[in-house]
Amino acid sequence: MYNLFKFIAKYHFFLLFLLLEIISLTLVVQYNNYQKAKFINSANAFTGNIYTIQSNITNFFKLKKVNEQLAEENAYLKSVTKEIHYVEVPMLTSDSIFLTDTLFLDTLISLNYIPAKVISNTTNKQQNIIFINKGKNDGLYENMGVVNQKGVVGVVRNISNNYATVVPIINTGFNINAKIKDSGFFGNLTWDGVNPLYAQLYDIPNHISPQKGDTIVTSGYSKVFEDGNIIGYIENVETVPGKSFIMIQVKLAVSFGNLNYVYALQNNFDNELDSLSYEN
Amino acid sequence: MKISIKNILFFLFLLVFQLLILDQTSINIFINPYIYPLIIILLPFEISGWLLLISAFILGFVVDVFNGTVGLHMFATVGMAAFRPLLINLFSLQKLDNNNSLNIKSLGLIVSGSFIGILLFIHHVLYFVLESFSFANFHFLILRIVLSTLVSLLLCMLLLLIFKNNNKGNER
Repeated sequence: MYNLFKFIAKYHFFLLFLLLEIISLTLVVQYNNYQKAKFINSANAFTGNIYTIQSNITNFFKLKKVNEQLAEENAYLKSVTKEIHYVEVPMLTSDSIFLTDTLFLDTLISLNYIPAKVISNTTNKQQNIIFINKGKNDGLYENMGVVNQKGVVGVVRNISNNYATVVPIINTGFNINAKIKDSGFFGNLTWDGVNPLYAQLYDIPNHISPQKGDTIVTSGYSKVFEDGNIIGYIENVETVPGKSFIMIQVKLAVSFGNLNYVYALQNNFDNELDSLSYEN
Repeated sequence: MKISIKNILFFLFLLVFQLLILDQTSINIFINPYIYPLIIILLPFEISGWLLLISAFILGFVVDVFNGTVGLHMFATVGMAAFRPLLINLFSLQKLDNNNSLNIKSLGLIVSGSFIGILLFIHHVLYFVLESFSFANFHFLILRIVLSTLVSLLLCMLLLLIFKNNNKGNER
């Protein structure tokens, strides 16, 4: 026993170093997968408040850009409401009478948009994280989809009462099921960590020849995003030697470099889907 | 050995500069400067080993919490701190400097620069390798490490020259 203490006393520096490194390495390996990272919740009130103060100062310099983005979004929404106003009503003829469900707009609303402000955001790391200023108290929950006016931003990971962290597409741990809008072929979209403007879509069979500029959208196979949220546009297509799949470079619709306001998608049928998936 | 209030304020300044300015600006994917390890580098030379490692661990934890990462900065900072006593012996800094802590004026720009540079390089290697968690894009990883280390070193030396050059030899 005495020898053990002597040994520890002699090599205490090295042993402590080993212990601390093993602790941190275990944390890294254990929580490298973003879905599991719930042990250390970085979306707490402390970091949230500090980032809020910081973004209040720096946002002053971004106001012009934010205004432009909001004006752009207003213009888009106006064009959409115009389309809704002028839904063509089918002509009623004497021999065939049919009625469409004019309430379809109400009955199909399954999504609420919860607006949130981005208070901290990086684009130069491998595991980029976005902090937003909405949390449990505002109706957010884990694994919620997050979009902005251009397209898909990411998925909510950690959550506290007033703040949440979002894993964006440009995080090497992120992956999502995506499809080519026109042909409907789907694959796995991930980010290789090299360029924050492009993500990669894998697993599309190589007999498809998608065109540059085609839209990539969410496939709707998960409950995080509904079918048809825009992710990006095809930049170029690369064949992988020896594989029957192609790799598509996708130019992301969202520019993560200037992200100011985002919307969390609250799915009203979430519990229903959950209970179904547990039953099966 | 005592750490003066002036030094504590400088450490706090380094941390705030790192977390709220450098980490928020996202300069470029190749340039991720980390200057917070300078806090560990600037601790007194004869600080006891366990205190050095524990303070590195806590510092890494703080940076991790703010960056939304888990364990990355803890690992890199503790790893760097472990090399510090070795390098102090190698450079025989304690004999060169009677200030008990790194001082550019008495050590000279080259000695202090290479001491800080090597430690920053160790930190950056550990951090970036663990961050990418693979050697898939090897040249990309190397470029990130080298460019980031150079920018970090430049920033550290500038900050030291601005804030630490004028109080030679008083207190501490």
